[in-house]
This record gives sequence, C-alpha cells and structure tokens, in this order.
Amino acid sequence: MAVLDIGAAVTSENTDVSLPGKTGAGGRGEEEKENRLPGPGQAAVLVEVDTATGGSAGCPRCVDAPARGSRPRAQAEDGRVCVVFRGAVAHTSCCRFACELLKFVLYERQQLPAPYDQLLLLQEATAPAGRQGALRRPMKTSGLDGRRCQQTLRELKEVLQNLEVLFSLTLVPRVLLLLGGNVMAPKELFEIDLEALVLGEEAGSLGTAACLRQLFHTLFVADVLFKPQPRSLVATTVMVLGHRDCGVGWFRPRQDYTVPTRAKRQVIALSSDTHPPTPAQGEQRDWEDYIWFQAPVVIKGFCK
Amino acid sequence: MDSAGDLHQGVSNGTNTLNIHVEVHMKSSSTAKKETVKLHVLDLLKRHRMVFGDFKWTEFDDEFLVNNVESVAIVDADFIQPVDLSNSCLSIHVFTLNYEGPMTENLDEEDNLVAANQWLLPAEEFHGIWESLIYENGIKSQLLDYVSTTIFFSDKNVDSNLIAWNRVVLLHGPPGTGKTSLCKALAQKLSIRLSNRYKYGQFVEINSHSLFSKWFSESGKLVAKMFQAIQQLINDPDALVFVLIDEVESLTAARSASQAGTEPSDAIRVVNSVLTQLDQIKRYPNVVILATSNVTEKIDLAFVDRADIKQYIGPPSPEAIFNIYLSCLDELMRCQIICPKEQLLTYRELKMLGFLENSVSQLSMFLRRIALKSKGLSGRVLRKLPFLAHALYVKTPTVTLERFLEALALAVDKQFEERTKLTNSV
Repeated sequence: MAVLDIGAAVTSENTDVSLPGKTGAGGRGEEEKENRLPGPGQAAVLVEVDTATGGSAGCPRCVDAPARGSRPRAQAEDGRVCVVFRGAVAHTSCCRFACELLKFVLYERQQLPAPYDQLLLLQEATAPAGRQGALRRPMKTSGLDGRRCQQTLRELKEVLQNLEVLFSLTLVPRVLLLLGGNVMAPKELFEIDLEALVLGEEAGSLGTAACLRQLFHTLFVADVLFKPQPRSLVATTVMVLGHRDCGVGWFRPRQDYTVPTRAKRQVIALSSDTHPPTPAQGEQRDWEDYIWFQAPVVIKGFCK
Repeated sequence: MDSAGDLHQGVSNGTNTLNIHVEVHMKSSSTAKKETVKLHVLDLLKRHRMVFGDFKWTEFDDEFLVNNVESVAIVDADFIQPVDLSNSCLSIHVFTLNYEGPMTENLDEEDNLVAANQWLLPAEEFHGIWESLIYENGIKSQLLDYVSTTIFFSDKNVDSNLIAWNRVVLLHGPPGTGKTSLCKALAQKLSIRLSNRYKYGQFVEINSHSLFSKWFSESGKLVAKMFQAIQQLINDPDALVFVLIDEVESLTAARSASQAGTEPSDAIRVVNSVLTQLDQIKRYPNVVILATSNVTEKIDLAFVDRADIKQYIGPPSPEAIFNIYLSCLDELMRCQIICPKEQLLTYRELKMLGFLENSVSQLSMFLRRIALKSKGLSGRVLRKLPFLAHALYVKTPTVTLERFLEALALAVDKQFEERTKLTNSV
C-alpha cells in the first residue's frame, strides 16, 4: 500500500520508525510526495477544496489546525487513515464529510470523468441557455456522454440529498461506500468512521470548511487513494449505519448486514481530541439498535 | 426456542413430530427485530392451529404484522391429514428480499461481454418461482433434501475421500419444462431455509458463450478466471454460493466429438478446464453447482459422471397440468379478468369425490378434461395458453369462468393443430 511507501521513505531518511508524519516527513519523503501528487485532475480537487474553505475562516483555532496540528496527528496504518479534529464538530458537518468523501472517491476511482461539482457546472452550462446563457463562456462538453452523465448525476444527487435527510434524523456512526460487485462482496470498500467524533452545538464547533480542508489534506498526505491505474466502470452503493427507529423512508434497512471483510478495505476514521462536554454523550450507546441502511439507488460510473 | 404457548419452534428432536416450515416475508421497509417478528408470528399461528396443507396469510389482525410483514406462509407441507401445529415442530424463517437486480461480471477488460450475472439471495426477481413450478413425485422436495444432506455431511466432517459427493446437480429434459427456473427457485428456497446458517446467498449465472475466446488457447484460461471469481465468493464462509451453468452442453461438449475433427482442440481445453475447476470447488462446503441441458447425449461423460443427481424434468402430468391451469385461473380471477370469482375444486378434492360430475364439480371436471387433452404440452406453453385463449377467443375485457374454459379448450386444440402443421411441413 502507498501508506507503507511513505513510512519507508521516512524511515530510510530519519531512521525513526514510529510514525510516518512525526518527524515532519521532511527532506526526501516530502519531495517524493510532491512528485507523486499532481496529475491535472487531482490538482483540480485540491483547488476545489480550497475555494470551499476560502470564504469561511470562521474559527481561528481550527484554521491553524491543519498547518501545525494535523500532520503529526494523521496516523496512517495499512488501510486506515485517522483524522483528528481539535474540537467538537457540528452535526451538519458529519453529513458534509460523508458527501464530500463520496464525491471524491467516485472521482478518484475514475467513476466520474471530472469532479462532481465541476460536472454540475458543465451540465448547467450545456443546459438550454437561460437568461444568462449568452454571457457565459461556452464550455467544451462535446466529449461527454450526455444521457449517461445526466443519469449518474441524477442518481448521485438523489443519494446526496437523502444522505442529508438521514443525517438529520439519526446519529450516524459509520458510512460505507462499496464499489463494484454487490453489497456482500464488493471489489473495494471505503469505510467512513464517524463514531469517535464529538458532536457539538453549531456555534461552538469547528467550521465545516476548515475540517474538510484538514480531512482532505490528511488524505492527500497519507496518499492512500491515489493509484494511477485504469479502472473499469462499476456501480457504487452507499450504506449508512443508523438508528433502527429513525423513521427514514428512502433508505432500505438491511438488518443482517455485516461489513464484508474480504474486500479491499480503506477506513477513514474521523475523531475529535476533546472530551465530550456532557457525560451523556460519552456514555455507552446501545449499538444493538443501530442497523445498516442501504441506498436503493446505485451510482453507475461513466466516462467520457 | 419455545414460545409462551405450546407451539414449538426449532429443530425436531428426532421423534416423529412433524417438521413444518413457516416462511415469513418481511416488508423491505421494516426495521423490526426478527425475534419480535417471530414472536408475533407464533402468536398468529397459535390462533390458527389447524392447518390443512400449504397456506399463506397476507392479511393480519395484529397491527405489528400489518406494518412489518408481507406474508406468512406454511410451505411444502406434504401431509394429507389436517395437522395440529401444537404437536409439530415449527421452523420459522424470516427473510427480506434483495431488490438490487443482477450485478454483472466482465472477465475481459476490453470486451464488454458479460461473463456472469450475479444475484444476492433471496432476490426479488426469483420470488414466487418455487410456487409456480409444479412437478409430480416430489421432485422439488427431493432436490431440497439433496442439498440439505450435502450440507449435513459437510457439517459432520464426513471424509470426502471415502464418501464422495460433488455438489453438482444436472437437470435435463425437453425445453420449456422449467429447468432453469427450478434452479433459481431452488437457490432462493435454500437461501431462505438455511438463513440461520448462512447469512446470505449468492447466485452466479455463467454465460457460457462468453468463456470462448477469439484467441486460440485462451478459452481454457477464461474458464479458470471465471472460477477464480467464483472462488472469491466461496471464500466467505457466511455465503452460500450457487453456480448455474445453463445449457451446459456448450461448455462441456463431449470431447470424443473433437477426436473426429469436428471440434477445435480449444474446445477440449475448455472441457478439461471446467472439469478440473469443478474438482477444486467441491472441497468447499458452501457451494452448489446447478447445470441444465436439453441434449444430454452431447455432454461429456466425465461431467455427467460428476453430477450427483441427474434429474429428468419431463413434460407435466395431467394432474400437474390441472394445477398449472388452476393457478393461472386464480391469477386471472385476482385481476378480475374472469368475473365473477368462482371457487374451483383442487385435483385432490376431485379425486376424493371419485371424479363424479355434479353441479359443484361441473366446472372443475371441465378443467380436468382440458388438462387431459393438454397432455404433452410443456410448462412454458401451458402458462401462455390462458393468454392465447383470451387473445384469440374471448375478445371482451371480462368474461365468466365457463366461457373462459371453453376458450381455453379451443386454444389447446389450436396448439396441437399448429404443432401437427409444423411437423408436417418439415
């Protein structure tokens, strides 16, 4: 795995075996990553995240966090990336994390030819010209398979909207993104672990944008997702762990579901380093009553 | 687990208590715990203790069941006498259906040909097939027993070198007798029955034609690749994997034919590859291979030899035809195409009456005459006859049962007429 690569690079340089990022991963390790990173598409994602962050530098302590704090904290083991936020996060942020990761994984695994938000823009631009149509710069979309593209975007949009609904109804400790195969035997599995996050009030929590920046920064640095190899188009299914009685209608409950252990698995674990403000939140939840919900729509990948 | 009352649930204790299977189909939106559902179903069964054979509840008094359960069915009861449930052993299987539809597997990255379709069981597409298949002599229960024994032997760690069983079932017979459907239904049934042992079932339907490559000597490798993909599914001990090889003769054509020079040698490699792969797979306890064929004499002897059960599926008997027609008529009455609704007697009831014709049994006897006349038609033809009867001879949106039966008789006649014309012209 690529995670091990970083470790190896660091070890050879500093002979410090403990943590890949602990020594600042300076020197050669850093350079190597710089070289490995780009490719035009990935740069675009970075830019996108940055612009998202740009507007809302709301909370000073968390804007600082990625620069100083996150690197030493990002622990990357084989198939597991941990992102530690320095404080509580708002309930709505969790949903954004899952949605952004879904968009990102789809793009990164070559199921979408361009990042989702960019595709949305493209779609808007190619839609029958409205009032502002004449003003807009004409975009080149000739290569895009129109019908397939629209269908996939529709599916993805539906999933994203319903994820938002589900997150508002119940606490979600875990989200699975399953690529290829079927839900019991996928080709690849991404697990987003939100269990250790401390949830706070909207006002006292870290800004969503800053957290997203830290999250993606960690992912880029850990270099777990970037494997430049051609991939076939597959179907992506989203599974969400939620409370039995949350009353969500769109998702289908899958009571007997167990997370497949045989697929290639990548865990992205998010957590907070603060203690929960009230003991009520920290007390043992009854996980018995949390069951998996499956999105009834699969997102079929498409290419140009 | 024993319920509060005196209904028993669980494995029979070896005495001669009757084991009755109850299938509970949960609504796909239900989030209720299965244990709770079981308790409510036991409650329901306690209120309806006497059963006279297969029965299905779809409407309930209990609000919990209304909200969470689609149907409760007593299935595959082969007893003739009415049975008191309190004296028998109940196996309650609670299941929900998978709505995903098939996933496709491509072996060749460049080629878009689908090599296999894969379903997660119990699948919505296969629901109801088992009930719609009507055979005599307990063929269905034999097949069920076969697979149960297979799994029982594996459980007991029987040494497979001393007692060999290959997990291969070959169904053969004329076209249209429901071989492929039976395979799907069997897989569905077993995944429900064995749900306490295996968490889920996988059904892989191999598209034999995709395994032949345009490149010489590649075909054998494609077969190996296919089985590798299947192997990955089998590796999960929680999965019960069914592999269906439809029209197996195309994959295992008799190698002797190629010695005469009519088959390319690549075809021999395919057969060899299939045989060796089958031998590898049979070591695993959680796999069953189902194969169907129309022309058994074309199949390689080594494959036939590996099949534990070589079941002939022939055209239906008059009794089976009668039952097929009966289920068709029930469906038409449910859709109110045949109106008003009339109750027909079952074949068993007719038998008990000694096939006497009176005012009650008049229409049922008419149906029996049609069934006798239809002997020799395949199940696939029989299922489309009610449609043809309506299309050709009814011509009104709704029709009485008597009028429809007359139309059905005409449709049967026409079917035979067409058949003789077809054979004469050849």
